[in-house]
Amino acid sequence: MVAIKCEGLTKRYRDVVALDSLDLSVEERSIFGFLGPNGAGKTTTVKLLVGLGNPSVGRAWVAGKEVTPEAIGLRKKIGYLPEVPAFYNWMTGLEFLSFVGELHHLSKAEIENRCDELLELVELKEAAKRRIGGYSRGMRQRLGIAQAIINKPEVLFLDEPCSALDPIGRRKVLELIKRLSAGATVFMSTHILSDVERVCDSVGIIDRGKLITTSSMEELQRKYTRSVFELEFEEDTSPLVAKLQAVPWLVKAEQVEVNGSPALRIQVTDINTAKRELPGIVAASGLTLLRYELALPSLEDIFVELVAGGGNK
Amino acid sequence: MDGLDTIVEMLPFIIPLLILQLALMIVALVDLIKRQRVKGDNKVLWALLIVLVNIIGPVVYLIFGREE
Amino acid sequence: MSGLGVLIKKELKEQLKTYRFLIITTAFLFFGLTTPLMLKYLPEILKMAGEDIIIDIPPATVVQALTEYAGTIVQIGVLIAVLVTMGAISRESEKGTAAMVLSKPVSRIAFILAKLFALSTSFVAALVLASMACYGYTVLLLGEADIVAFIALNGLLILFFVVSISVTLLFSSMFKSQLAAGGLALVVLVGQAIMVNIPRIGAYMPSNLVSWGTGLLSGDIASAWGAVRISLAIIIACLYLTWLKVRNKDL
Repeated sequence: MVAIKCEGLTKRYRDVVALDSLDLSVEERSIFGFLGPNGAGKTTTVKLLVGLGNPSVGRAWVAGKEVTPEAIGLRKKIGYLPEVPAFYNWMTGLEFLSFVGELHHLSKAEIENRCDELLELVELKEAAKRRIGGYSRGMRQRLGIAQAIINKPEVLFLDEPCSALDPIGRRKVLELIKRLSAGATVFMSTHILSDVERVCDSVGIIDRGKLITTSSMEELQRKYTRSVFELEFEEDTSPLVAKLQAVPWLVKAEQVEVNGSPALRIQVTDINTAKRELPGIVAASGLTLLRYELALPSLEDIFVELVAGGGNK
Repeated sequence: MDGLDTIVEMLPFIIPLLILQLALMIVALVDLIKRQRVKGDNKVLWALLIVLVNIIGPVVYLIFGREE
Repeated sequence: MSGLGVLIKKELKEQLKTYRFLIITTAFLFFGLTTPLMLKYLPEILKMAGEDIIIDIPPATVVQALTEYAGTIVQIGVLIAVLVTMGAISRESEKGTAAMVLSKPVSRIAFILAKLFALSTSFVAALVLASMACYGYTVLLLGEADIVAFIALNGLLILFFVVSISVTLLFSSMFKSQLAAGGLALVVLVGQAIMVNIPRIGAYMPSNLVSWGTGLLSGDIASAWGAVRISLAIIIACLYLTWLKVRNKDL
């Protein structure tokens, strides 16, 4: 079953195309990571999917229902955590959660139970009766998560759920997301690759409003772990580069600037063979080695690669 | 003593007005004391405004002075 | 209109917690009490200030007091209505609380209606208190007054305030800047008040409700049902346009 689906979803603000015909489908009970740098169109997408924005073109369906601004029935089944959750500062944490519970038409007893449970879960029990106006950013984020799942949603949209959290809070939230996926589909947007890596089943990568690729987590990881060596020499490295061209495991070797000094960046297909053979080749070249480092490609590397290659779609 | 008579006659009608002013002043002062931060970060100045300017002082504080 | 009840409850609580209700009530009560008081004692206070000046003010009448009360309350009330409503929608969409609420099973018309209802309720409550105070003082200081006419006057004032709130609410959905929304609402509301003097059209302006109300005090039976109808039409039109605006808003 498909929990989230969109066809040609496009959002233009005047001349700017924030989202360019997005086609996507997310399987039920999976965790989908929507990955992209800031300003890529992640928040725009999430807002369109929860019906807070009107698409310029295209349609979207969530939990089998079409998303529209007045799709009340649909909203009972979804949860939404905005990028920066906003609250009525005059309310207490408990008051806000109860308010959201009432908006979801939960019964009094249910609201009481859920509030208790959730405040415990997000560790706001002690602050429950304090005004939200005095909450820290991390507390607001946690309250945001609690309000998003008070109705036990079928589909949960989380826009940068780990922002504003410390490392421990981050890990807890990711664990929580993992647990929630037993009964719900989770769509989470993030610009942090390691978050996606930890919990997601599949991932979509978006840049400048365009979906570059979607793939399962394993597939991305295969690409991701294709490692990069960074070497620094005293001399010119051209002879070494020429010699490397003959090696079967090389993807590419290029001169780059790292922190202002020239370095050689070598991308390889087979990390283990490369680890064994590269030092020998370097030694044989007779160049003076200053630095030898195994670097993981950053998110930027993957983007650059995907954007340059046009993705694998 | 025509003037004094007038004042004595007016007094019962003025008391509710005074109570109204006082109530508003107290509400504003209590809020000011409880609040951690106010606009301009100067509680003393706000307190003076609330106490010295009738009606308008507390109203201005309650509308513009409160900050989360 | 899913969520209307819950939202009304929230808006009313907000009126209390943000002191809006207190401010409206205090302002109204203040003018309700001082108007008859000043009318009664101003000549005597002036006399006390300087005995040489011969002041020839005829003693104040009941009708005069209640009419003046209506005039002051309308002016202050419109100003307050604009002030407390001008950010009602823009502030919530700016802060993100609108997105938070509207991502729940809540229809957007309920979101708007709750605001209109809660704000109007504040005005009704404040006006009930102020009118009772004013009536009491007037009777005690100046003599018997026609209570039916006075209640009718206050009813017409309420309708006028609801028009003011609806107009401001519409502008609040149209402009990000509270000042722009409030300014334009004031221009419209003052504009229609000036147009009351234009023959024929003037009778249909919402401000004519106030003239009808004060006319009732002195036994003037010339009614202004036209203005009532137009006022109701303005409220409905403003609500509809606000709804369109909010529905098409990207939150």
